[in-house]
Amino acid sequence: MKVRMFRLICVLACLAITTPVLAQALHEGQGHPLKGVWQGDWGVNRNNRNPVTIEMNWDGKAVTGSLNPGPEAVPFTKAELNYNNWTVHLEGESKGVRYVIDGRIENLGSVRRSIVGTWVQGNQKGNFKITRQ
Amino acid sequence: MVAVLVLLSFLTAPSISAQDGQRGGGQRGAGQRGGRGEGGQAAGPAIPIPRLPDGTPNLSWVDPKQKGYWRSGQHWEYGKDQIDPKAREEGLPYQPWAKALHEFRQKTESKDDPEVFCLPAGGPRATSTMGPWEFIQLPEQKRIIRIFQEIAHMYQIIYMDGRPHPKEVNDIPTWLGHSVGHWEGDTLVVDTVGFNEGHWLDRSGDLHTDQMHLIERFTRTNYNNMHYEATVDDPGAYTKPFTIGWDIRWVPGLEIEEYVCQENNRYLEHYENIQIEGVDPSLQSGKPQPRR
Repeated sequence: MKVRMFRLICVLACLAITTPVLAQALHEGQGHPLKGVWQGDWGVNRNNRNPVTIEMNWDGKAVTGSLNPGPEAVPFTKAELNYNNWTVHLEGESKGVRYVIDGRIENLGSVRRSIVGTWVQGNQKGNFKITRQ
Repeated sequence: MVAVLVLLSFLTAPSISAQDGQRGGGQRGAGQRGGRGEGGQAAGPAIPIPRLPDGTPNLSWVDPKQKGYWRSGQHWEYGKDQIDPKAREEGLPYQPWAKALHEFRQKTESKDDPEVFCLPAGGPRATSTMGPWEFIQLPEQKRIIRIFQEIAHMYQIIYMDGRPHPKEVNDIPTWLGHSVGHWEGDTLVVDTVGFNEGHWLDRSGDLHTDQMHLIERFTRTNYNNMHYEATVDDPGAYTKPFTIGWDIRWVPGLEIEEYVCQENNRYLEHYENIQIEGVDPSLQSGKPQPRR
């Protein structure tokens, strides 16, 4: 009984954390190309992949957002879109680890567009692909 | 390329676009859009504008002999529909990213337009397609309901009771937003916020963000004509507000009928196979097709 209650509390807590983020982000995707929740993975090779979630927003002047929103979120210190070639540059830092993410938008016309590129996390370098949810 | 344009034209053309043509009035073809009894009465001369008991204009009809609905006509590119002639020359006041995205959508011939997937078209887009629509005024309820034959079978509620927009309107944005209205003389002024980012502003791919604040003004200038103006204030995508406008004609003798865009939407079968030459394939949705 206690275990069930604990599980239920965990599920509700997870929903309480993620629902506002997703509700804010899932605005149907025809506005600023970076706005939304993006999910995918990164890794140093094909066999070593790490799931990632990125949330980005647009306030009319700047892109803001974070990597893995939640208690362990890494807020972006720099988030830029180059609309001449639809490339994206993101930077963040947390607990002494620096993140530098460079990619290019694929499938720009689709709400399920993706960003593909290179991912640097501390002294590790790999590739990534994330898709807008 | 021509095939894509023709296909998109069909898909965005009301009533014939996504339906098989076997429902609600039999087989249809190009030029047979709209409601029951198309090709009805000719526009009559000098019929007075009907009014409600409180004196405000009736934006619909009272006498069954003078029934009808409004049809806006296609306005594909709002830059050219701006009221200010100087603004028309300059185009819309895009932020740079919005200009680039609009250009991409033009290059790809608007193939990703959400409306061809039968998604609702809110904001001024709802008043710039060929689909018939009408106002239902309910003064005793202090609201006006606007119903659309097409564009996903949607309706808009305009609250006329003086309420403000709810504070949380942007927390759960919607396709048509939240609308409140009032009369300025004979003009119905509709103030709408709380749009989601699901639809394009116009057919050419102009865009908006959820920061859009829309003020629309509907003035029935005579029985057969409505003047429409809309001021778009969207600091998320544009550097300053702009105002567009056009006249809307009364189509006499007709009634709105059922139309379900989602039914047999053939565009979905073709979408993945549309690749526009000259545009980076990786930027486009859809699979590259082998050259013939």
